[in-house]
Parts: sequence; structure tokens; C-alpha cells
Amino acid sequence: MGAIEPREFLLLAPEIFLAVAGMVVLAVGSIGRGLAHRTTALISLVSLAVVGALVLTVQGPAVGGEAILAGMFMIDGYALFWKGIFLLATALTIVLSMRFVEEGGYPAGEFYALLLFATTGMLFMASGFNLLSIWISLELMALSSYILAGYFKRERRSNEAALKYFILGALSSGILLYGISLLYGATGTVQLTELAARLPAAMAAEGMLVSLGWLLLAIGLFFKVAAVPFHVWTPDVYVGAPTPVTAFLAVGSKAAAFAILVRILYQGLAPLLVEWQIVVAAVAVVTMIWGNLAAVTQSNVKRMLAYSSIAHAGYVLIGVLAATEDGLWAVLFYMLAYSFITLGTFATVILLERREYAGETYADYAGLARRSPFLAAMMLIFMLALTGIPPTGGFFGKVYLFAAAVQSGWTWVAVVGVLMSAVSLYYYMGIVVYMYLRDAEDDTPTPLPSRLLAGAIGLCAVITVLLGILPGPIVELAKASLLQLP
Amino acid sequence: MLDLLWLVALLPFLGAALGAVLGPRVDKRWTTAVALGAPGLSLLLALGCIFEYVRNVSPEPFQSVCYTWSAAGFDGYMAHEGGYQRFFVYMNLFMGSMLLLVLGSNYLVTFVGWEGVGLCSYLLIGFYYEEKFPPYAGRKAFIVNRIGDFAFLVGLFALVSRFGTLDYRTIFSAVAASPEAMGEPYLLGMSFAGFVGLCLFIGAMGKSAQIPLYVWLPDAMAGPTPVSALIHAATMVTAGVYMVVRSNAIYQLAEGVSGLVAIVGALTAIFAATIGLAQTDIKKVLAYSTVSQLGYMFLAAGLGAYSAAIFHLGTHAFFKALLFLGSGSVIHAMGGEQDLTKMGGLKERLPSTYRTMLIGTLAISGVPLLSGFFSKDQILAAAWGGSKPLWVVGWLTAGLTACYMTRLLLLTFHGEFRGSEEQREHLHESPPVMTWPLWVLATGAVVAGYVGIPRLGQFDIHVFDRFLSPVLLEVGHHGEAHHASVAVELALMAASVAIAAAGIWLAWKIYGAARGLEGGRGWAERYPAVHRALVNKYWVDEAYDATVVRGTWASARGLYRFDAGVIDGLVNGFRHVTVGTSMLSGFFDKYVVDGLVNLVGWLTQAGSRVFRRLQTGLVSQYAMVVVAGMLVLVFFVVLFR
Repeated sequence: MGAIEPREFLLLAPEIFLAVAGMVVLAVGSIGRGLAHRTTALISLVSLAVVGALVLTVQGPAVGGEAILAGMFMIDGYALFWKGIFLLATALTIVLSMRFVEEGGYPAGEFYALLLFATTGMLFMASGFNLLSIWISLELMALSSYILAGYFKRERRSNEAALKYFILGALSSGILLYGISLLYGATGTVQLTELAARLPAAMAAEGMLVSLGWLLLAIGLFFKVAAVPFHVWTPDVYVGAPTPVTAFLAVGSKAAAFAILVRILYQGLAPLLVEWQIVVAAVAVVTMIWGNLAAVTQSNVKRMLAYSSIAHAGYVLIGVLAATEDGLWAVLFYMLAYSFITLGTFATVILLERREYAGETYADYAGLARRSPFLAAMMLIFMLALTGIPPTGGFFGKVYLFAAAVQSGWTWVAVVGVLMSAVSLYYYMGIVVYMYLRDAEDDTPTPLPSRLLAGAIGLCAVITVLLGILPGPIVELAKASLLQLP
Repeated sequence: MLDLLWLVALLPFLGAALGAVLGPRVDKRWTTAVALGAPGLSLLLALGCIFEYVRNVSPEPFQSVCYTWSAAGFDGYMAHEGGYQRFFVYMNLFMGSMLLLVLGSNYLVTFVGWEGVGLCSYLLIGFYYEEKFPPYAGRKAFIVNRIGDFAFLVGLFALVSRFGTLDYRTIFSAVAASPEAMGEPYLLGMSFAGFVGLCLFIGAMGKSAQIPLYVWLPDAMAGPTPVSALIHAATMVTAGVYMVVRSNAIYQLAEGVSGLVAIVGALTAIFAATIGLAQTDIKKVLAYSTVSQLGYMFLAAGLGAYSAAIFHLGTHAFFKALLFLGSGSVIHAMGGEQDLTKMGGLKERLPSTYRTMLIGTLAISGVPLLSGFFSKDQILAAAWGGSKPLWVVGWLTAGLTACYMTRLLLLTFHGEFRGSEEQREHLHESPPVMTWPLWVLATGAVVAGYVGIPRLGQFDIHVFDRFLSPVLLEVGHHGEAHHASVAVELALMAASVAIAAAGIWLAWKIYGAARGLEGGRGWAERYPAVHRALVNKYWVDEAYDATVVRGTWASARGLYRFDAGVIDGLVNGFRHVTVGTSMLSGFFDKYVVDGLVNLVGWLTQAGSRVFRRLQTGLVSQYAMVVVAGMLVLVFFVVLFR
């Protein structure tokens, strides 16, 4: 390990800038109470844009892959792709939150600052190249998320969600850290490349220690991506948390967890490929079956979406499992498409929520096609995309994932994925049936409360459809953002 | 400019989407602006592309720009059917699909366009869906086309399984590289080229209304007249010809199937022409005439005279669209009347319509110096070189064509008016907005033939051949049909002029002067059996109804019983299993996980308020699940590592 150059800190300018921006938002929010929700939201959006520009200009030239700060972080194309997803997801989350924050009557600065801190953690996660730096970034994201889930502090459901999320999160964090310590014990390093280099020898000497170590590490991450049976927190937290936070958890936090799961499995644990593939396969299959079947009987839309997000984690795990370049770029493409689809879905749910939690059951969607043709059409697009029906990004996402699995010989897992996609048609189309075929109690048109939000929904829908018609450019981008494979 | 070619097909789709979104609520002017703006821009782009293509012919064969002619041609005159937003949405959708069909550089894109135009055809035939017949005709067209599409799809599967791609250039160069491999036995005693060629041809039979799948086209006349002119005469129905010509590399290696194409084409040509002799609905006559002319095109394609087929396709688009629009003008003037027996003597009241339709009639009859003469002559010359019996059939058809077209013209415009007084009052020439497209098309019907003036001695112009040359590969041993000597060519021309004159003379003899319907009635009495057969269109529809339709119904009923009894039983069984499992896992979450939780909650409710607020039982249950899951995985890995 050579000496650390100051230049290496410069390369982390986007992350540092975002952390500072979060503090500024916090300060501004505490000074001006009246208009603070607008100002802070604006500052947050602008700083996200600046960070995006910084990522491109400062880290862009290093896409070839550059390890910095003694191998703590890695700047490469893979990290950049994920950072793009995180920044877009956070920006859309802020747009989704504005009305909520305004009407909720809670301090706005805290909300946006916590979002920015969580995003900072996610950016570090994408670049994390050392189990410890990864763990600390993960905690930064997780701790911010716990508070965000409990943001409606006078609401019992919100409190409940935060507490559950925190306690179970702490448990999983402990498991994760325990796994890291076992790996360190067996190999004497937590840096990913060195880990990969020392693993074969360690396997021979301390096989049990290594196996337990990586397994506990993986379980900690399975918890974050909400894979069965480590999903138990998901339905309650998704339903209890304010809906924009739910969207953020379903997209940002899940994507960040996948970013590090893939990097650790592909780069740090590459020598154990055969061993972890079986576990990932088992978890993927159980997750897809459980998530989809449990979603079928839900009557609450947010709860259904929670199970749906569990099921989608299962699909992505299929791509992770493939451990080929095809699988990797399929995961990247899928997560990008999934982010827009899911954010659009939640944005529609937000528009329909009357007051904090009302308007969440399937029955509340009855006759929506007549009350608000726009929202019904948007929701239709998102439901088709979540099922994986062309011409939407969800279709190509699933095709790429399943094809990658088939090509690497995991056909039976892909078959389960296809069968479960068929099951998912049932509950996604349930909403469509309510929207288009059931009559509402009253036919008064639902006004669009916020043009900004409606615009965000429209944007998500357009991107969803575009990804289903012209997936090429994003596929090329994802192919240019691959990791060094084992 | 050529880079923007994709926009040509996209623009009409955008127009359709925009039109559909705007809906019927917006002002009509907006609908019209969108409906005309999108294809208009598309037309400009297409013209730009053609111009650039002609100016600097690039070494790489640029695909199929020439075919945008036919599609671009109708952009202009669809403007003149006022109104319906639904109509324009369908029309834009149709144009987008048609452009996709002809611009596609592989079979798959072509197939998507193919299905798209099929859908639009169905929607537009059944446009007046409140009446009884049009929706039925729409369904008939759709179902009959489905038979062809199925075969087309099978052909595509065969191509994919052999070449791994559907790209035209890749497939054709692979075919050209190894003609022997294409000839090896493949399936059902056919060679690969033969099998694929047959499948594609069956697809073309459906779309281009050839025996035995032609029955939908005459009924398709139930749609609005501009639709008949554009879709069911000029553009969509020629897609089958386009596809066969496009696949010429395959057909050149499949002599048997090519022969079949030629025979089916010739039979269709004469068969439909005879039916056309006795029909009394003005649009039906034109429909059978279209079927007959499409038969000509297949005759040419089957004989390997691919450029002649496309040439006739182009000239036919002009005069047939002209005739259809002219008939539309007549029907409009007659207040919706389509029956020839109620017309007559319209010449004075509809001068422009009469003159333009006269030009169209002369062109389709093959009168020298008009477009139909040149293209038909090329086909007949090819037939002479290829097979004498087919030439005879084609030659006779030319006479029949001249005869029934002259009959139509005489019954409509000459003699005494036979309609009601009310209709006589109503008679008027159509407004200029309807007549000037007629004149544009009439000009086309006159001059379109000159791009393909036949080879006579030194005068080898053949602009059209050269335009198509990148598409028409030379594969195997025989290319374009052998060219006859000047003397033979002149003799053939004379023969076709003679038979056309004979046809016109015969029609004049029967229906001419003031004789009108009376003359026809006399002939019908003299040959009652022939007349009945022709009027009833050889009872083909009835025969299909008795066999295919009823057979399908019967087997459908049988299958339904099987379905209701056996399959539904199975499906329901599966459904019960799925719902059951789903409920089980739901129950597990709800009662075992949540149930434990609720039990604790219930206990706490009974016990302590403080306890309930903290709800510690809930999280501990969750934590238990996580730890249990962890232990299972640990056990799993420890056991099997």
C-alpha cells in the first residue's frame, strides 16, 4: 500500500459535496420555518444535480478502474452506473415527497437532509472496495432510513415501522459484521482484491471459518435486498413508512444493497463461486415463490407492492447467480428499469392517497379510469412493466435476466422465475381490473393535486416505455459498466 | 437524409397515438392537422430519401426505398374524406404499419407491419360497426388472413432455424452462397427453398387475395370507399406480391413453388375476371378486378419476371385507386347507391369523374400508350417466354378485363338514368377537393408506364429495372425471363391490343348505345347456367360455408365440450392448487407470523397497555424468523460444503 495522495480525496468530491449539502439543508431547514420546505427541497435537488455533474467530470475519467485511499474505495464504470441510478432515484423521491412534507407539518429540513445523507451512504457503497468501508457506508444509509421511516412521528404506524426496521436492521447489521470478522480472522484482510487473493489458501486451512464468514456476510445483505426469509420486516415497514420513504427504500436502498452484494460476491468472493451460487439460487427461488404467492392475497396496495418488491429481488438474484457478463449487465439494466417503474408506481399511489394513509386498498382504485384517465393509464403502464409485458422496460429486464441464467446453465431457476411472473400477473392485473372494470362509488373526477408530481409520473412512464422499445442505448451503457469478472 | 429513414415509419405512428390521445373532444381542425401533418412530414422525408438514393447510388444495396412509392402515393389523397377522428387514427396507424412493412430490412419487421396493416384493414372494413354487414366482413377478412399469416409465420420459423436470423441481406447472401444446400430435401418431400417459398406464398395468398383465400376482398368493400381505394386496391393487398418479389432469392431456387405461384396467379386472374363480368355492385366489380390484377402480378413473379410484377404493382396502384375514388364520387353523387342497375347516363352530370374514369378504364384495359399497356405487356411477354398455356390464360384475361371495365363504364355513365327521381335531383359533380385527386391519379395512370418502356432494339431505357436491381439478386441459373426478339415482342403487343379491342367491342355490343341493361339481360337469357354461376360467384362462399365454416363450428362445439369437461377441470384444479398455496403462504404470514404477533398483541392488550404500545412481541417474532432462516442456511452450507 503506497502513500495516499491528496488527489485521491479530490476523486471523492461528489460524495464529500453531498454530505456537506446535507448539512446545509439541515441548517437552512432549522432557520427558516415558514417556506423552508420549498427552499430545502430546491437546495437538495440542485445539489443532487451538482453531484451528478461532479460524478461525471471528476470520477468519469477514472471509469477504467482506480482504487483509492489504500484500496478503501474503487472508482470504476460499475460504480458510476449505480451512482447514476441512486442520484436519479433520490431526485425523483424528493419530487415525490414535496407535497407530503408540506402537508405533513413536520420539519422539512430534516427530511431532505436525511435523504441526502442516505444517498451519500449509497454513493460510498457503490465505490466501496473494503468490507469495512462498505459496512460503514451501509450503516450511514441504514441509520438515515430508520429515521425516515419514522418521520411521521405522531403517527403510530410510522413509529412502529421505524422501530421494527431499526431493531431488525441492527440484528442484520450484527450478522453482517460477524461475517466480516470471521473472514478477517481466516484471511487477515478485509480489502476485496486481497481477500480474493488469500481465500484459496484460507479455504484449505480454515474452511469452516471462511464458509460461515461469507454466508453471514451474504445474509446481512439478503436482509437489505429483502430476500426471503430475511424479508419479514418489509411488509410492515413499507406499509407503515410515509409512502415517499417507502419508494426510496424499495428503490434506492435495495439497489445500493445489490450494488455491494454483486461487488462482494463477484470480486471479493470470486474463489468461492461454486459455493455461493447454490445459496443464491436457493434464496432466489424461495424469494420469488414466497413474494409472489403472498402478494396474491393482499388487499392493501402498499402491502402488495412490498411483496412485489420482495419478488423482484428474487428476479435480480437470478442475474446475480449467473455470474457472467450477461448476468451482470442484465442486473444493471433491470435495476435501472425497476427504479423508474417502482418510483412511478409509488408516485401514483401518493397522488391517490387522500390523507396520510387513506386510499391504499384495491377498492380505492375502483373506477379510476373514469375519475382520472391519466392516472389510470399511467398505473396500467407500470403494472404491465412490473409483470414484464412488452413494450415496457420490465419485459426486456426480465428477458435479459432469464436469458443470462439459462446461458449459464441455471435453467430451472429461470423456469421458476417465468412461472412466478405468470402468478404476478394475477395481482398486478387486479389493480387494472379495479381501475377499468369496477365502478366507483362516486364518479367525480379526481383532480391532479400536483403538476410536478404528475410530470414525474409521466416521465417515469415515458422512460418505462422507451426502455421497452429502445433498450439498446442503456444495454450498451450497462455493458460498458461491467466489473472485472472472476 | 437516409439516416432519417426510420422517422418515415415512426411519424404516422406518432400521428395515430396523438390522434387517439386527443380524442373526439378536440376541435376537428386539430384532428385533421395531426392526421395530415404526420404522414405529410413522412412523405417529405421519403421523397428526400428517394431523391438522395437516386442521386448518389451507394454501393451497398439500399433496401426497398422504391416501395415507399406506393405507400407515399396515397398520403396525398386520403385528405379528402372529411372527419372522423377514429378514421384518421386508423389511417395513420395503417400508414405507419405499411411503411414498416416495406422499409423493414428483415422478415420480422416486415411481419410486424404485415400484422399491423391486417389489423387496420379489419378495423377499417368494420368501420361502420353499427350496421350489420361491415363487422361481419371485417371478421371474415381477419380470419381468412390469419390462415395465410400462420403459414407465413411457419416459413419464418424455418428461416430462423436454418439461418439464425431474419435479416434479408444475410439470408439472401447465404442462399446465394450455397444454392445446393437449399435444394436438399427438407420437409414433406420438399426442398428447404421449396418449403419456405410455399409458406411465404400461402401468407401472400391471404394478404393479396389469391385462390383459395381471395374471398375476403370482395366483402371488404363494406368499408369506406377511400379505404377500399387505398388499402384494398393500391397498397396493402400488394404486400403479398412485394414479399414474394423481396424473397426472389428463395423463389429462384424453388422452381416447383414458383410454377405454383404462376399457376395460382393465372387462375386467380381469369377466375376473378369472369366473376367481374356479372356483378352489379360497382365496388364489387372493382374488387374482383383487383383480385384479377393481383393474379397478374403473381403470374409475373412466379415466372421470374420480378421487376414486371413490381412494375404492374405500381401502375395498377394508380389506375385502380383512380377507379375506386371515381366510384366513390359516383356513389357520393347517387346518395350512397352502389347498384349499377340504378345508374346510367351520369356522363353529363359528372364530367370530371367520367373523363378520369374513362382514362382509368382505358389504362387497365391495356390500351396502348397508357400505363397498363406497358406493364401488362411485360407480364405477357414473360409468360410467352415461360409457358404458352399461361400466356393464353393471361391473354384471355386481358380481354375479359377490357370487357367488364367497359361494361362498368357504360352502365354507369351512358344510356338512360335508371335511378329514382329523388336521386336524379341529387345528382351533382363532386367538389374540387374530390376531383383534383382524380386528375392527379389520372395523370399518373397515363404516364406511370413510361418508367418501364420495354426493351426494343437499341432503346434499352429500363429505368425501373435499374432502380430495383439491388433487390433482385441473380441466384442459381435462371434470372429474369428470357427476352424475346423484337419481332415476337411486337407480335405479342399486337395480340394484346387486339384482345383488348375485342373486349371493349364486345362490351359495347352488349351494353353500348342505348341498349344498357337490356343487352345484358338478353345474354343472360341465352346462357342461363353461365350467368347464374357468375352472378353467384361460382358459389365459392357457399361452398366454404358448407365445408370450412360449418366444419369449424362443429369441431369447435366438440372441442368446447372437451374443454369444458376435461381442460377446465384441470385448469380449475391448478387454480385451486395455486390459490390454495398462495393462501397457505398468506395464512402463514398472517396467522403464524402475524398470528403469533397478534396473539402476543392480544395478550398484551388484555394485560398491559404499556406493553401493547411497545409491541415487543412483534419484532422478536420477526427476529426469530431471521435467525431461523440464518440457521437453516448455515446448516445447509456446513452440511454440503
